[in-house]
Amino acid sequence: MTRVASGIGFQLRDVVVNYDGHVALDRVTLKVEAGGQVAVVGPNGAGKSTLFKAIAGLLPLRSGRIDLEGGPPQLRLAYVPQREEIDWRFPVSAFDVVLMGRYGRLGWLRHPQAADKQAALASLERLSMGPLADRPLAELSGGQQQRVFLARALAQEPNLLLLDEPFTGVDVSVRTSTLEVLDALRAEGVTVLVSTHDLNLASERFQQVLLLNHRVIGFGVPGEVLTAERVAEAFGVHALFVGGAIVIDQCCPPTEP
Amino acid sequence: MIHWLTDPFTLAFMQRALVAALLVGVVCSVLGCYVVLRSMAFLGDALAHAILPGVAIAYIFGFSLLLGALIAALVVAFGIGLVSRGGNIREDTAIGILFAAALSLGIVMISTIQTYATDLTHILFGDVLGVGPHDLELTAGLAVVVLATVLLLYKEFLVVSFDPLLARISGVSPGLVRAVMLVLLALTIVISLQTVGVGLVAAMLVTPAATASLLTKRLPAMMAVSAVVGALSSLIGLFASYYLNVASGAAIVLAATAFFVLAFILAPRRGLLWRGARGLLASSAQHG
Repeated sequence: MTRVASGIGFQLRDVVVNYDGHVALDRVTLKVEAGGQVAVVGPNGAGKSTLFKAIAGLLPLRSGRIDLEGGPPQLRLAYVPQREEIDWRFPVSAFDVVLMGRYGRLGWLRHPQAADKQAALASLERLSMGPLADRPLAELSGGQQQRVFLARALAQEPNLLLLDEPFTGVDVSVRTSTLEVLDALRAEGVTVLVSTHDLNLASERFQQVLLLNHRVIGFGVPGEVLTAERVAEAFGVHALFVGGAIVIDQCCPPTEP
Repeated sequence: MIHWLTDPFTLAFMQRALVAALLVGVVCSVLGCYVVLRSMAFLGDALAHAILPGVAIAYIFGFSLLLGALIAALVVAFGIGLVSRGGNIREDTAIGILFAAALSLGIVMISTIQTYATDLTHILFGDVLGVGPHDLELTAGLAVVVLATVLLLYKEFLVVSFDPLLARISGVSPGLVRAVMLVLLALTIVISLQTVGVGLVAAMLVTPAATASLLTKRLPAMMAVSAVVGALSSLIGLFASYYLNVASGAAIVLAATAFFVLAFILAPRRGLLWRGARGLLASSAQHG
């Protein structure tokens, strides 16, 4: 079992991020403690992906600041985007892809060592992809490809993990595997942010929920955040209250950076 | 039979031509794997043509043609980056504009020289039989630099080409790596000047790598197969030019293309024949 350092905490202060002339993140202030597991919930186009990219340092901030506890090498951030903009026919195997997760800890001229290769294989096995390690990426199914990218994130031995909609459009076995991985990471104390449309999942499996629609509508324990008023405020016309249940529609996702 | 194979290489200039052609075949096809995977074929072709003014200036002012070519390639490469940076002009367009401008500038300059027709032909289509000992040393030196860089920076090139997002998170700058790739491309074009000429170096960058992509599933294998195809094409092309008295650069490219056509038709799983056979089997299973 690969040793994973416990998580790191981070803080956002009045963060504003623009995209295409619109405000994607509007003065977001947020503090997540080390080891916290947060479900990020909001309608499509609410800025969830933008938030993750900003934390990962992939987008410039219009204003405000993001402070991550410790920089490299102490900080190991893994980010799994919703839709990988990958050339799926690139000549790499599942193992090759996961091994790339180890590059961040190697210097410019060093090649992956035996320990790195073992870590890559172990990650694949954790996602039940061991037997398919040498299969080319192009020959894997969508669900298998999903597992490969999650395995890659694990191979980074992250102390902060950002998963953008890992449960959207996946089959049951991938969903189960992902939940198992999240459980294990919680035990290891890794800080995890997961964006999802599934309010039930958010309230059942996560210590904290962030309700986001460009700005923070609510952040805290699920019971306090996922109230009818706040959900209505966040989701607007996309939330339907039927009897005691809330139904969210996932229509019409606008583009985010 | 054995005489037929060895006869051409009893002559010193043919020996040099062989070494030069093999080096170029290998270097172009290895770097060419990235050109193919990153869709840089047009860029490669453009850079090759764009070095003409550099060569012209070097010729007129009497310094190393290869140096002039290298400087021109770098200038144009960065020019393309500059023009497409603002976002108003697509990179594809920027390449088209700068390459045509540089090529025209080069032809204008060369046309001022008396012997311009011959010189232009050599630059455009290669003059592998004119490789001198000094040229060969330079070619070999640059070839080693390019191959060593590709090897040493293997993982950086790989992650930037496959997943620039992960690259950035891992602390590898895609911009920097791309700049290094452009420099290597410029060096490779310069090496290839004498063997295949600027008109055809794009073919040597693309065709062996494309052939390899049909026959392999992982990058290291793709590079190895590409290198072998490139080297064989150079060998066959040289033989063809010796015995059939045709332009050597073009002969090399035609040999590489022949390999590609063979792979396109015969490759397991991805070749035309295979897919046709599978289609036939599938439809006969349906109707049978």
